[in-house]
Amino acid sequence: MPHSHPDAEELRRAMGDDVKSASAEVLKEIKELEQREADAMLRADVSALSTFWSDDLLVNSTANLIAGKDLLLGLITDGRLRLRSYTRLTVRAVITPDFVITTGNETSQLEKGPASELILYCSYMNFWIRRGATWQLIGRHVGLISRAPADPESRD
Amino acid sequence: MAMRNNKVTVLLVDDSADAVAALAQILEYEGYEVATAYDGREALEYLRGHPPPNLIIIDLMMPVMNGWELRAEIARLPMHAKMPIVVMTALAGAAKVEADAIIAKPIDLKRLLRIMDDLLTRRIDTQGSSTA
Repeated sequence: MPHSHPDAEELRRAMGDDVKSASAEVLKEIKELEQREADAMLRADVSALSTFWSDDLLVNSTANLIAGKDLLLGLITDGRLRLRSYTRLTVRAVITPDFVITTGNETSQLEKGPASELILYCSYMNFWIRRGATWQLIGRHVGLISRAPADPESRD
Repeated sequence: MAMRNNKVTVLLVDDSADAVAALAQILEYEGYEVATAYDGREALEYLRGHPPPNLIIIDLMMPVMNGWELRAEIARLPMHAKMPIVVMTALAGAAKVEADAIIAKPIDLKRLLRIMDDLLTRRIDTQGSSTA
């Protein structure tokens, strides 16, 4: 019996058994894209983020603020939005031919500001849309799960 | 990013430190000078000890002194009676508070910035001075 690709197995768990191999390919592509986009965010690579993000990107943040692409890129360029650490784990995805929804968790630490001494544990939902041969992030919602001091010695 | 020759001061009042920090960053990026308070009483102390801000943004549900109480107190302060007030709340249509604008949480920053600009421009026009 042939072995299934790990991504295909995950997709079956998430979506049922009638998954086509094309969906597994898309899932693999999107999961890689999610990691590359997170890396670009960590590096404050505005040029890369500008290509990952749709012009009409809509983000609802943990602070209950809804922002678009221009403002977010401006804040990053200006140095007001920078991360010291950032990891993302994609847990589940729904795939359609031109639209993918992913959800999972993220761990991050801001570079500066009052919350910079805290590690933020968040859940997220990303919305990717197909634009020709590539995919772009068009929607994103982030919710705070919990926060903890970055320095374990200072924990209660 | 808005460019202003004169700093426009906004007092931001919300008990959520995260929300205050994030919104203050954005307003400063947009060219505003931002003062912060984490409840109504702190906001009143600021107003009594500083020149009047050009605009105040108030959350409603706060400890110590909530947004409704703060709004009532501001109305009793002669120097601040005509100060534009923007209320931000998850209560949205049920807020029942006197304000120049009520904006729902989560806050659409594009809308908030437009409202602030409109209110500040209107006030400057009313006062007969110029932004230039």
